[in-house]
Formats: sequence, C-alpha cells, structure tokens
Amino acid sequence: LSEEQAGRDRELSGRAEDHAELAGGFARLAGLPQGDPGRRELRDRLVTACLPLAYDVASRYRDRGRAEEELRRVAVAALADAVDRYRPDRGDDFLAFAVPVVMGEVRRYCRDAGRAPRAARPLAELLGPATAELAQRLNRAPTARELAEHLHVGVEDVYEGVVAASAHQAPPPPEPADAAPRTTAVERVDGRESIGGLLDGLDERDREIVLLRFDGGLSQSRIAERLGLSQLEVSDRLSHALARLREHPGEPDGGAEAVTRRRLRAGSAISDKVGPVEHPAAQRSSGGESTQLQEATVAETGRQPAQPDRIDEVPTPATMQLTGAEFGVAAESIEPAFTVLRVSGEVDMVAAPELTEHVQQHFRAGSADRTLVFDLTDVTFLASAGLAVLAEAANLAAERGTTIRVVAPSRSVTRPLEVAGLDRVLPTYADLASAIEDR
Amino acid sequence: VIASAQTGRRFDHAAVPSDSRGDRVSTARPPTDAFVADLRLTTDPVRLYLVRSMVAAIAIREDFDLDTIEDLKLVVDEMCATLIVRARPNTELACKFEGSAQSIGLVATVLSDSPEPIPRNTFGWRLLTTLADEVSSWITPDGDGHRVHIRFSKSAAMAIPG
Repeated sequence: LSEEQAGRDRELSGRAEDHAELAGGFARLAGLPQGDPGRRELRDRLVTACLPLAYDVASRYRDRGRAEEELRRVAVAALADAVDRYRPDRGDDFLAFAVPVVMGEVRRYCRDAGRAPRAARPLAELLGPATAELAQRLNRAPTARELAEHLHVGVEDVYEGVVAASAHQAPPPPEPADAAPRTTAVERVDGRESIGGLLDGLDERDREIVLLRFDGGLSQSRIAERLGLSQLEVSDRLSHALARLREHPGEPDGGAEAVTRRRLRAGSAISDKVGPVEHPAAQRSSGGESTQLQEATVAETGRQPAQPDRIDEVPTPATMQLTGAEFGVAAESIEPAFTVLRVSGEVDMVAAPELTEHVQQHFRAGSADRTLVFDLTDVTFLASAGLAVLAEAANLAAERGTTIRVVAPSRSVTRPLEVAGLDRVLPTYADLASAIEDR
Repeated sequence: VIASAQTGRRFDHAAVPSDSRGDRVSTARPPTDAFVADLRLTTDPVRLYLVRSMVAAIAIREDFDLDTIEDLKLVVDEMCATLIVRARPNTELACKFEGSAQSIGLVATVLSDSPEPIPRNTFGWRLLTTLADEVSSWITPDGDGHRVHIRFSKSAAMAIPG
C-alpha cells in the first residue's frame, strides 16, 4: 500500500457511512492478490470502518433479553465474515450485502440462544467457516490466535470454542422450520414455576444463574458471557445463592437444598452433549460423575465456591469443554440395506469395547447382510482402539461378503483414519446421505 | 534422563518484542520460556481424557495450529493408553509435559511387572512415530518392578495440510 492510500484508508475509519470510500476500499482489496501483506491490513481496516454498522444492528436486538455486549460480539464476527465473503464484482454495494448477513446472524443468535445451549454458540459456528477460510489463505490450519484476530473476538472465546472441539466440524445443517423444538435448558429455565417456588428466595438474576449452571449445565464463563457479567461475578453470585438456598430451604418437606440437588441430578442426566443419540449406553459417566467433577473443577478456573462437601455432590456436565464429549452410540436401520451406527463423543480405549459390542451385535443378528455404516459425524476424538474396531468390522464384513462405510466429515476423524491407512481401505463419505445414496 | 527444565514460567511485560513488520503486537500470548507441568493419574483409562485435555490446553495457548493440536491429542492418548495397559494395578501414571512456543513434549511413566520392552511392530507405535517428531521408550529397574517410560516431542512446525 502506498502512503497515500494508507492515509485514505485511515480516514475511511472515521467515515464509515461514506459509501464511495468504502467501495474504493473493497475494490482495492479485491485487486490485491491472495497472500499480499497489505491484504490483511486493509481487510481489518474495512472491518473496523464498518463497526458502527455492527453495533447499530446489535443495539436493535438488545431488548430481547441478551446482553448487548454479547450481541455486539456476534454482530462483529458476522461483519468480519461478511467482509471476507463480499464480492464487489457481483454488483451489490457492501452495506446492502452486509446488513442482511449481520442481522440474520444476530437474529439467529437471539432465536437460538432461547432454544439450546448447543446452538447458542454462534461463535463456535463461525469458527468452522473461519477455519476453512484461513486454512486456504495460510495453506495450513490456523492457530487459535489467528482465528481470534480474524473474527475480531477475544482469544479466550476461541480457546473455549476450540477446546469444545467444534472448530473442526462443519457448521450444523440449518434446522427445518417445522422441526420440533428440542427440550432445552432455557425452556427448563422458563418452566421454573414448576419447581414450586423452590428458588423464590433468590432474586431473579441469581435464580437464572443457578438454573443455567446446574439445570442448563452451562459453564460459569458461558453464563457470564450470556448474561453480560464477569466470570468473577457469576462465581460469587453462585456461591452466595447456594449458601442462601442452604440456609433458607424454601419448602417444608426436605427443604430447598434436597430438592435442588435432586433437580440438579435430573438436569445433568439430560445431557445434550450426547447430541441426538439417546441410548442408555451414552450415560457412561453417570456413576462416576462426582469424582470426575472433583478433577474437572481444577480445570474450571479454580473459582468454585469453597463448599466442597456440597459442591462435590453436584453432578454437572458443564465442564465438558475440558472433559470432552461423552461417548455414545446408537444403532438404527435405514431402508432394508443399511444399519447405521451413530457414534458420538470421544472414542478412546474406554469407549471402544462398547462400540465393538454394537458391531458384534450387528453381525450376530440376522441383519448381517446389510451394509454397516459408521456415522462418525459427532465423533470428536478417535484413538487407535477405535480404529481397531473399524478395522475389525471391515474384516467381519468381508467374511460375510458385505462391506462397511464410514461417514467422516471432520478432521478429528479423517486424520486418524489417514494415519492408520484406513482411508484407503474403507469407503468414506462426507455425510450420511451420500453414504446411503452410493449404491 | 529428563531434560533440564525450568519450573514455572517467566513473563516480563517489558520483554514483549515490538513486531518488526509493524503489525500490532498481540497481547494475547506472552513470549514463553520452556516450562514443565506434571500430571499424576491413577492408571484408569477413564482418566485418559485428562491427558488429552492437558496437551490441548497447552498447545492452544502456545499457539500451535489446530491440526497439530489434534495430532498431539492422538499421540498422548496412544502413549498413555500403551502405558496404562502395562501398569501394575493401583499404581500411578506420571506425566511430565514439557512445553514452549517451539515444541511440546511428554515423558510418561508407569510401574510395570513386565521387563519386556514396548514392541515396535504395533499399529500404536506406528501411529506415534508418524505423528511425533521423536519417540522413544525405555525401561529402568524400580524396586521389585520395572519402570516403563515413553517420551515424545513435536515441534511447532505447522502441520502440512492434507
């Protein structure tokens, strides 16, 4: 970039509403070859210049119960995405292109945030496309810091998204409009009257925090993010609220604490981390949750309230971002020709025997002439023990003159398959539909 | 046997280098010195996720790229799984992570009843040698048993795409 141009771009930041300047900036951006060092600088300057647009959109949605800070983050990330995807040669001016994109993202966020914790992570959803975009530009996978800079969000936000293992997964397909709403934490929060005034002693915010934490299974940092508080505040309010519940049981029979704990257990059993798979086998950790929590609290910023005797008894899936997704597997038949094993979570040496069990069941049952499809879409980790199950399944199938197929869309699955050389032996597909269609 | 390691890490704000290319200097990641972190676990495979989580947490903060982080999780899982199946019951798996912005390594060890060296002709070992820059294993006497060690290191050189 020439000095003069750089000066003009700086000016641009001060006058985002100046369409002509903006258009000039985009035209220059489009003119710079990929890999030009000036490209990123100009791109970032354009994002900065349009920040007022993102803030404006965010402010329109602020009365929908979400913290404005959070809305702004979503809007800015969507804006950065729009800047990357905008093609000046397609005719639209940038604002005409960007406004619907940003509004759509914020609107979707507001809607999803009221539905499911899993969907209430627009950032996690943006990480996928952003990772792909950066990978193409850098010719390698990006780092968390590069992702954070690219999306104009904090590195911490990306850490959380990445450790939650969502960055490598394709964004979930849009839900059909008439899809039955899933039972979600927030709906359970909304149904709090049914707890029978149990949490009445708390003010509304504390009540919301308690329910999000223990019923919704959200981590403290995610609650902080959602409510626009600092994590310290959430932690303090939480320990204060729990102490209060212990001191003032709201109900005569058993008291608030006992009921709360019962509810907390129920809440944690409804783990949406297992995804669509609902199978008794998916509840592997139900017996060992309290010990798992003891370890996991170390990871959870160490800011747990100091009431170990009580807290230890509260099972919670909230620390999943560090414990990883639970393993689950469910079998279903699709047409007469296929048995699909939907596997989710981490397939390590603990989970592998269970997967083997399902494989053997398939070959034992009269269904052994079907093609066995391993749908690994929701698998976040695949260890050698898991690879061995696939290899063994392929052998068993070959003995019976059938085959197996593997749906492997994410790198956390394709990489181990590749290292094992299984990708050359097993037919792999990007999604279940193409695995089934392939005759 | 274990490389000399500093305990903890030093971070001097004044030492943040200004970037010669004029990019803004991110405060997200301070320059890091080599450091070590110990993790001791009961030899229960259910706890393997902790080792994976730990290496991912270190690698993310040392700014390793995401593909390398996936590889690191595979390596430490394989290493520790290999050790756990050889461990004497009710003993500990001791993990020493060695991290820096340039490389990440792990030395893990268990007490075993078997003096047999870890076989090199297995798929697991091939996975280790494929994904890590350096892998080695050795056995030392320990009381009435045998201490089995595996060590790997991987540099921050960005993973080759594909």
